[in-house]
Amino acid sequence: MKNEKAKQTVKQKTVFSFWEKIGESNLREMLLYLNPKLSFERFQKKRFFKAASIFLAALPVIAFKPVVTLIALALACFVYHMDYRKIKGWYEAEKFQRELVFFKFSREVYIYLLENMSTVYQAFERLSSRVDEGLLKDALRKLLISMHEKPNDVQPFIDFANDTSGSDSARLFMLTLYEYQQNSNDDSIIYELGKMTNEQLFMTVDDIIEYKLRKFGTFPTKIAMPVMIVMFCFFITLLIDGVKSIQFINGGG
Amino acid sequence: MKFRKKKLYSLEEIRAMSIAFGQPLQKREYAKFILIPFLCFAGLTYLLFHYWWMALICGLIGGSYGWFYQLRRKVKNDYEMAAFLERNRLLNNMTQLLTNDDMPLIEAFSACAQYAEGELKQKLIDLEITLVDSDEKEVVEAFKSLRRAYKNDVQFDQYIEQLGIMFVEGRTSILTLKDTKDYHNKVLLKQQRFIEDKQQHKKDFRTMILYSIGFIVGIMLSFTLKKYVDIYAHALVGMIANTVYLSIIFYVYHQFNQRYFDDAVTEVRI
Repeated sequence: MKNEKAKQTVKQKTVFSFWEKIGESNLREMLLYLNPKLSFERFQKKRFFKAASIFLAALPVIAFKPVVTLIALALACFVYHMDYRKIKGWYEAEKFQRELVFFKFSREVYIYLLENMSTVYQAFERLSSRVDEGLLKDALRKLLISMHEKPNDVQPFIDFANDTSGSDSARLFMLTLYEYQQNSNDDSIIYELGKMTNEQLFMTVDDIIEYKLRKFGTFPTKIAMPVMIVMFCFFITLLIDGVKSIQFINGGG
Repeated sequence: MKFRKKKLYSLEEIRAMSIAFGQPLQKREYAKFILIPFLCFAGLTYLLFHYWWMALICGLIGGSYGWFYQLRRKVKNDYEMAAFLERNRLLNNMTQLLTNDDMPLIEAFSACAQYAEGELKQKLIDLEITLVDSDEKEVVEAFKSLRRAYKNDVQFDQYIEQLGIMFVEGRTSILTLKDTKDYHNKVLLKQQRFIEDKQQHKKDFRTMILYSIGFIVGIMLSFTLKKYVDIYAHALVGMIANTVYLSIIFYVYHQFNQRYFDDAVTEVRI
């Protein structure tokens, strides 16, 4: 497992392809997070050709009016950039969802441990039978299998944290759980886990509030821009009206 | 991961929510939620189109939007906030009473049930009756049902869980209870802060709308109102442009409301 990861990072650092260069620096990372099966090169190619085809479509117009080149280029860049923005939006939303998934998991595990004084493995087993299909269930299954294979290894716990939330606090939580599993029946660790769960919630709450408030920022533009529609249409009709009246005067005279 | 289902509440549910904690909705409140959107929508439409029948239609759309969407969301948010405050009071009272080590658990609990109000009080009294004369299994089940009722409130859930364990296993240190109570207070503060911030955004939104309307009026009057009506508003181009403008503004307004009425700080909807 470790070797595989090491290879991957080396590959990322040494190979600089064209597609890598024209993409934003954190794009690969975000795509990997969203969907590990998606090919980065294919995504970039699709995105690039989409932008290029817009420019090509404008070529006939450019032949007549060379100034349009600028507009076509700007439009192509805009379309290219919008794809990045879209991915970024998905990435942020996905990050919250995963943090919430981990938070829910940590809370339930905490309550199981508090309630029954059951072992960590039993708590995971009960949880995995209860949660709905999805990211958490898959990760839990993987964790249970690797815990069964390597009972005293910490790696499955870390992998689980990386698979679900990927944040530092998630890793810390899983390490504490591992500690608890190793020296079981230490109540102070459970107390610590409860505290961690709440602290994690606070971090998520702060993030969520910031995310939701940030979404209000675009409203002034959204209200101001449509006014342009009314203004332009009114001015155009005024212009046409003006031209008509001049023609009328000329024709009459 | 919690996805809240989009749901419109029926009138009965609204009434039940509004009387669960505190006063039922006054007739004036209902009127406010129909009349204000009606007037705003009708006014803006008349300004743009200069047809009174069109203003009436859009006013009715606005009024029903206020009635079917805004009122319901508002009542639900108020209900949730009141319930949250009530739970917060319970946690604070309970912890306060339990700091006295000589206070028996059941006595502290019944005192808190006395202090509580509204929907929560009924639930606590039911729980108290179970606590006085039941076996262990029933007590555990009763605590579980209280937790289920407010399972979205994480800290309350944890607190009641710990309290339930205390009732069954005997009294332990209240250190964890104190911590959980502190966290509950913190979440409450954060949520209130969030709601205040949103109100500021609402003010900004209103001013922005007023500015853009002022701008349109300015253009209108600068070429005389008669000309605006004759060559633009009552012509095909103007009709189309105004309809597009109005629908965009309505869409933006709806989008704003969706975000404005979203009070939850522990969940994200996409």
